Amino acid sequence: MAAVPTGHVLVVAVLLVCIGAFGVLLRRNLLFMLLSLEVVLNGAALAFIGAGSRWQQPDGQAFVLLIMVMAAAEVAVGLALFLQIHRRVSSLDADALDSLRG
Amino acid sequence: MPVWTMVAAPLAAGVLLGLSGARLDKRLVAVVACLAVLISFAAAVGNSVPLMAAAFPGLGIAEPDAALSRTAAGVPHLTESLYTWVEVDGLTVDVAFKLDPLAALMVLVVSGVGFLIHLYAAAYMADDPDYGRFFCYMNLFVAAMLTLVLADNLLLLYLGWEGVGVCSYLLIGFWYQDPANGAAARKAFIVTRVGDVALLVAILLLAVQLGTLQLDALASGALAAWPNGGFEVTLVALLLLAGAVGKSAQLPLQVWLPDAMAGPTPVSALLHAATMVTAGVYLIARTHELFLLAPAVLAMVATLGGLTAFFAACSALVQNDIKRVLAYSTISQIGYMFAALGVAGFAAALFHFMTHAFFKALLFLSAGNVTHCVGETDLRRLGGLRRSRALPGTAALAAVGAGSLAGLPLITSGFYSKDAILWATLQPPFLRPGLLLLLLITAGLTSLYAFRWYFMIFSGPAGPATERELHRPRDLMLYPLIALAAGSLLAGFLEVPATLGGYHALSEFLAPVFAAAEQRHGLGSNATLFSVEQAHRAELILQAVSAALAVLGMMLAYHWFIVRPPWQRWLAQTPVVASVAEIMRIGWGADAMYSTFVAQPYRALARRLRHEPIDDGIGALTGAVRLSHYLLVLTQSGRVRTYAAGMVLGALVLLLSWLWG
Repeated sequence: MAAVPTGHVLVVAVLLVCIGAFGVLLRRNLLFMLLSLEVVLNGAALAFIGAGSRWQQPDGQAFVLLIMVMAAAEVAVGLALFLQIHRRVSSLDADALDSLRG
Repeated sequence: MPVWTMVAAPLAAGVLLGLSGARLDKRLVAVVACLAVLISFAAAVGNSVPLMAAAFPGLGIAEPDAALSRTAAGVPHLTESLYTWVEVDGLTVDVAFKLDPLAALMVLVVSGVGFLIHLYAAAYMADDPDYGRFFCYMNLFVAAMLTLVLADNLLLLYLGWEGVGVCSYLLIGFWYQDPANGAAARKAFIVTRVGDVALLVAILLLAVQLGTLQLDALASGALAAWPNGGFEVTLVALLLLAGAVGKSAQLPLQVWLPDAMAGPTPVSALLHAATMVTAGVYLIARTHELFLLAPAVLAMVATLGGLTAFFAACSALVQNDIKRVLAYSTISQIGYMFAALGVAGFAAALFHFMTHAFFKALLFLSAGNVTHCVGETDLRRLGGLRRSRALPGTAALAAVGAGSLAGLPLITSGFYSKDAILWATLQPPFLRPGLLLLLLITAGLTSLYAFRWYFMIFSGPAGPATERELHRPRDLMLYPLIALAAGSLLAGFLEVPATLGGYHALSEFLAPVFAAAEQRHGLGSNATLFSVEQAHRAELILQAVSAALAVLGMMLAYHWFIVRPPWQRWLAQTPVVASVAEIMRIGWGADAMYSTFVAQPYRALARRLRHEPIDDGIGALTGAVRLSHYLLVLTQSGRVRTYAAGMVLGALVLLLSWLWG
């Protein structure tokens, strides 16, 4: 199997992180922000995979597993929170939730 | 009776009345208060007899007492040291009373006139609900004044000095329900305080420099340590003068005395005419050795005295309040005493102090009878009271007082004492013809205002206030006046000038006190200026001039204020004359001057300080903290996306700094 060059992997990873980050910053809907966050995590996971295959080390794959578990937990907690938020303020607009303003 | 009973009797009575005066029967209060001062007077007389015996051995009044000792300078005195008051390293102060001829003269006048005024007050204040409080203050005043006079050291003198100041404050504000009286009391207290602080500084300076406060030791110590006109002695004398000026209401601290007339009339008579305000004269006479060592300050005493006498006499001429005339007159007469002190005529100053105590107390008590009877204090609304049957005798007694103040020749004591002062200004080495001229002009003015006062009350047609039914004062309010009038007429014969027989009982009595200093400085003789023949003639001319001025003043006053010629109305309506009179009436604007240059700047400063400008430095710090707080609050938008942007930006910065760092 022809190895994908590490440089390409990293470029895609960076692209994923950037797309995700912009998604978090620009979207106002909480669900889409959570989705964008998943994209950022996937970018990071991809970088780990690429690095693991470059140096032939298992650590990269272990970290990816960790990231997946964490992402699952995050989605579970996040969705539960969104449900509560929607119940209380009838909206998922992130900018409407500014009651902690100083 | 020991000397200390003079102080102890009124002090004990004052304390007793202060603790229980409100519960005691009024008659009992009066008896206790008067008896205490009478005991003081008896002790004063009893203890003065040996001093008189020593001064006039020819009289044979008594054998000189064994207790009578003499100081190094040969001053006979009775000294009683009660206990050691202060004992610190290098300074010992006893509570000691010393009765020497100078103190004897003062205690006799203070307790004698004080007793008469207490008697008068017993009747005058009879309807006052605070009878006990009044006599408590009066007795405490007598105790403090006698402490001042009898003190053997400056610290004890200062105790008495402050004591009379407090009593003055309490008595001016006696009718405290009227806020104006309280303001007058505060004014008197604060203005005299300026002088008191100077006196305290002088006392501390003397204690530090000479290591003693005992009066004789001070005089000899100063003579040994300080050269004539030296810096230290000049400074000390200047500070003592400031103290005397404050207490005696001389320029420039004269403003409190006219307002002090807010107190009851017996208070004005006792404190603000006869005794307390002459404490400054006593202080200078007592520390005359220091003043003689500082000729510059002595010259200042003379100048201040002369100017005060003149300016206050002008003010007295245009006052319309029955008591304010007398208040300005008191300032003016004390100015005479200061002028005499300033030319080293100590005996003349004390002679005038004594006669002034008699005739000014007499005038004040007469004014008290008039206000008591008529209920009116404005001279323009009074008049014709001489013919009133409600005031028998008061008119004649007031005439004696006014005549004595004016210095009507030969029969009144004021003539003799004023003449002694005028003559003192011609005695070298402090020869002051300018001062003599000023005092002569003032003598004419004095006669004018004294008789203006008398005629406007007692002569002429009845005024608006005197036409209605008058209520007759008690007889007790007349007897003390008779005694004072006798004093006003007879006290002058204690000191008859050479031209009229030459009888010098008072100056011979006082001579030992001043003899040493006079000998050292070559005072008391004008042999260098005049021959005996010339001196005789000069004194005669002086007496003739001052007598003529007194009589002229009286005649002018009658013509001006009773006959009222047409030119008087024309003159009074001339704008220049009217405005000058107005300026004189408000005391040459001294109050306005103090208000503009002292009170208002002080108040402005206080207004600034109310907002604590010193805290502004610290306030700047809290301001900076608060500003950064507001800036930081802005970052706390509560928006998740803003925070996320911050995190991304931070991560980016870290990444870039790592890449290029």
